[in-house]
Amino acid sequence: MVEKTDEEIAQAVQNGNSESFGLLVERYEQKLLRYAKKFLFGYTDAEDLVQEVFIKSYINIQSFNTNRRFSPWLYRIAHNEFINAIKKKGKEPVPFWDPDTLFPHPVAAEITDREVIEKDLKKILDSCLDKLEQKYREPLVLFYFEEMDYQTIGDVLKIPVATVGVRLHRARLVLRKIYNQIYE
Amino acid sequence: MNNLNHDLIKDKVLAKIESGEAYMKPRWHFILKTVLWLSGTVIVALLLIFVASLTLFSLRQTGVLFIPAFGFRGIGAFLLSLPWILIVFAVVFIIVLEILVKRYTFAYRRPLLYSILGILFFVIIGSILISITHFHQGLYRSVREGRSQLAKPLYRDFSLKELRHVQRGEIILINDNGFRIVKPPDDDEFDVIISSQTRLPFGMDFEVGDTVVVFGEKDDSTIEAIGVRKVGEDMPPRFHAGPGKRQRFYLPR
Repeated sequence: MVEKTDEEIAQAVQNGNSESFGLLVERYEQKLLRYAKKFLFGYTDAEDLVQEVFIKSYINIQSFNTNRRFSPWLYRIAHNEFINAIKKKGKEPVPFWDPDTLFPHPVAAEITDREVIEKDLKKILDSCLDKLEQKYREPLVLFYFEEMDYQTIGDVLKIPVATVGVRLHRARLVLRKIYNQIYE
Repeated sequence: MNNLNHDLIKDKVLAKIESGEAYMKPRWHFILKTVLWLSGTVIVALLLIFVASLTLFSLRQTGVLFIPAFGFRGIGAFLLSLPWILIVFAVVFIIVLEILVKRYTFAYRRPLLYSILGILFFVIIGSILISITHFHQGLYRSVREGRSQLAKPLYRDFSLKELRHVQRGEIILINDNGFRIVKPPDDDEFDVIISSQTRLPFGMDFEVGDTVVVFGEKDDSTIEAIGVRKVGEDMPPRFHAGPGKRQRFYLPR
């Protein structure tokens, strides 16, 4: 039997089949927990936040356009929830506006040999991610752990694709610098 | 442990849904929200075009738009005479419009510069269209004729503003020293003295009936012109028609 797509399940929920929402929770809870734990270092309430993300997505599911992909829509809710949590805790600044979104940048080619460098980089990420600014940490998590492409990351963060490329490039540079400072 | 965690999340979420603690907002709520957002965007866009075109109209009407042609002093006076309140309002509307359109894919997927340029292009096109329709001229006339009380403060403060250094008027008489102009809002007459120091960037072939912008300090009813230029636009028809025979003015040697 062909498994239903996220969008089909979301449509069923929109049509009143609330129990189907459990399927979406099952599909995404691990991913969102990982996203929360990697992005929100030092926050103990990742489970509560993820639960809140699902509640909010259920409340607002009628605003979801089933002709579009469900995953960026859900991650956008998660992003907003996590950013609000960061603001509430006041541990790190969340700038209202990023100057990188102002000017066009040449779009850096997406890394295609992701698997080759993944092991090496993920090791570095795991040990240094908490030392990165929030604006660099998040695209790294979405790219390397959630395996999203630039376009999807741009849709989740609501920033231009070129800015995603710039942030990832800078994030890698900062990450290597931090790693070298610690381990060399 | 992980499975236990996420089973717990799923159970809690479904429990909240079943108990009614988490309820699905109806579709009309989001449709209404979208309609309100779109209406807000359209209203702000129209206000922006109105303010931008009023700024342009005010600059034309007072003659300020034409004085940068008189060199550095002209540029200085131009900057000092700009309707800054309108410009601040226009900037605020651009920022608000940018925030409103940023939620749409076509806007956030591109650099901010592009959407700002898009808004500016939209404002320029809108202002040109407004000037073609003579919208402001119509309102200005109705204010002058006392038919529109609502628009009066706007046009009184910006388009009917008295400026010390810039006068825009229609030539009604040519004499040996220069010419006489009549200018709005009260049909005041001024004798414009032209000397060899006067800057005439577009020539000195003035005729009765020409609309001119005179740059120079006014002393009672006399202006020693630092610069004069003809403007290729007629003054509104409320002005005296002037003598039927057109006279020419040539700068005395």
